[in-house]
Amino acid sequence: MILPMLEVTGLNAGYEDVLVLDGVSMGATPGSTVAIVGPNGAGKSTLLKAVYGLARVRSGRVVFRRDGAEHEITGWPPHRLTTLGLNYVPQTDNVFAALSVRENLLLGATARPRQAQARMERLLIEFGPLRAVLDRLAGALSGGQRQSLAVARALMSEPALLLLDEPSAGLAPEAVRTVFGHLGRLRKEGLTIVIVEQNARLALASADNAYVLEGGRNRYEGPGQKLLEDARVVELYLGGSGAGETKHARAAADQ
Amino acid sequence: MAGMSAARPPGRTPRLVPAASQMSELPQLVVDGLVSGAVLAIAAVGVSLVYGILHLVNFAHGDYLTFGAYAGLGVTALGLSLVVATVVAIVATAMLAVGLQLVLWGPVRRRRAGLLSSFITAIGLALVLRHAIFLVVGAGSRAYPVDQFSVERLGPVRVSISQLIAISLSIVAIAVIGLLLARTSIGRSMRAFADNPELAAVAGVDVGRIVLATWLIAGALAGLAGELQGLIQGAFDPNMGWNLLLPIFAAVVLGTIGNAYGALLGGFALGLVMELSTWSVLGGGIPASYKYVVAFLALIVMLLVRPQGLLGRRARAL
Repeated sequence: MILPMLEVTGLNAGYEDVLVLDGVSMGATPGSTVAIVGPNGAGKSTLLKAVYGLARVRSGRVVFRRDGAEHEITGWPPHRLTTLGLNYVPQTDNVFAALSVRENLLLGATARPRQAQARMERLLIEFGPLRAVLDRLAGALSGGQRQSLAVARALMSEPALLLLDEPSAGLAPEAVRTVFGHLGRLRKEGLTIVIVEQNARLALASADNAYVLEGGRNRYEGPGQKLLEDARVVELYLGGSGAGETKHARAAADQ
Repeated sequence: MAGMSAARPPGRTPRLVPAASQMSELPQLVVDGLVSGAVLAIAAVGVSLVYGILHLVNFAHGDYLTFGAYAGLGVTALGLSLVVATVVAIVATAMLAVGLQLVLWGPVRRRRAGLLSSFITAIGLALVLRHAIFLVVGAGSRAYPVDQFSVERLGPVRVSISQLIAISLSIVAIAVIGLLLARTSIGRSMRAFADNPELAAVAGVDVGRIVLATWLIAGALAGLAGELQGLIQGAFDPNMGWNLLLPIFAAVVLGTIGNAYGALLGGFALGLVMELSTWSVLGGGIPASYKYVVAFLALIVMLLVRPQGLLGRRARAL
């Protein structure tokens, strides 16, 4: 059996005096895409933050495995995780607004400074539209460009595992397609991805495996496609009437 | 001009245009303003970096300057050259700043002290440092062994050796700090950290290193500024840096709080405003001892007209 690259066991975590996660467990096998879905306030984002040392972990274990080595990374500071081979794209404030696009990318390589320039050139093939705005301030980019830059910045450290928090939030449908296009290609290249999404249909459809959280606890888990067809999950979290599609159609009509 | 000449003291012939002798004051005042502005600028950059990156209003920064001035003075008292003194002032003050981070600011930060408690801690540190210096060197005035009366004539302008040293070293320091912030990876990391600390950590920036680098730079600049201020002031006592603190803060605010380039600009602007306020064309000129008052008037006007500072964006929340 293949051991998970990321394994979270019984995680209790939160902020200051608030406990958000109540014994959450999850795993991501190497090369898989795992979706975390659930209603607002379920603790999806907190789970990613707790893994990345940005929320306070009370108890539980986070383990990262790579190349046969096992690292217990519970509570590690973010920069050490990045050096180890993880990266994380927050939902908001995910670029350095006061710095240029080029500087954002180079900063992404802080943990692996060697040949950063060459890596940036390679990424700019995939993220073509960023090339034209390299010297512009990241704060001046459109929502879609910003999200692309945030993902590209994370890839500059050559991670084996990428955590993404709601990459589709606030984006126009066109930009959502672009971002998920990037993720599809990264998945084919063998990157392990853990993605938190409000747009559960989109996330489940593109995930190998998925976890449904509710109230800071595990609720359901299974292959993405299967959860998408699971009557209970559809009814509770995706909106029985296909609210996701309706929203999409409305957003498309607004364009 | 006409309105101002009407306000002239009686006994002088009212003029509609400045006299030739008054015009000839101008280049001298500009040069003096640039010299004191340069020293203010390099001190203000340190305060601004510390605020922008550590969110600490370092009320003790002026006393870091005093420390640097006396560190350099101690070296010259041993008979060593001013070059060695400058290096020692820079290194010793940088070490002081880093040392205080390790024994004071680090622990204060780990206890999650807010802006106000850190600020009050800094006031306390300022008092402790200043009086420690009083205790060691005494209350009398001292001066660097530089001939204050040796003056170079450059066209219409007279420049003392001290001023020449101050302006040239400041320019070097400003160039170095500008390149460091704009072009090096540590400078980029510092700017990233000031912009978005959490994301900087995620990108791989080691927060502890950034904090130490910030103090190292701010301390080095304070040491240099302290020595240069001691030089251009001639005689100085342990109150020197304390007296300079408010103009330094004014320069920081003038140039937009937390913006290092703004602090440079604010320093020069303030230096010029202070010197030019003594120009006799301006209603006979303001007595030199009121220079700092003028600096604060400039600051107040600035805050009324452009509260975000010279380089600030209007909507930016601080």
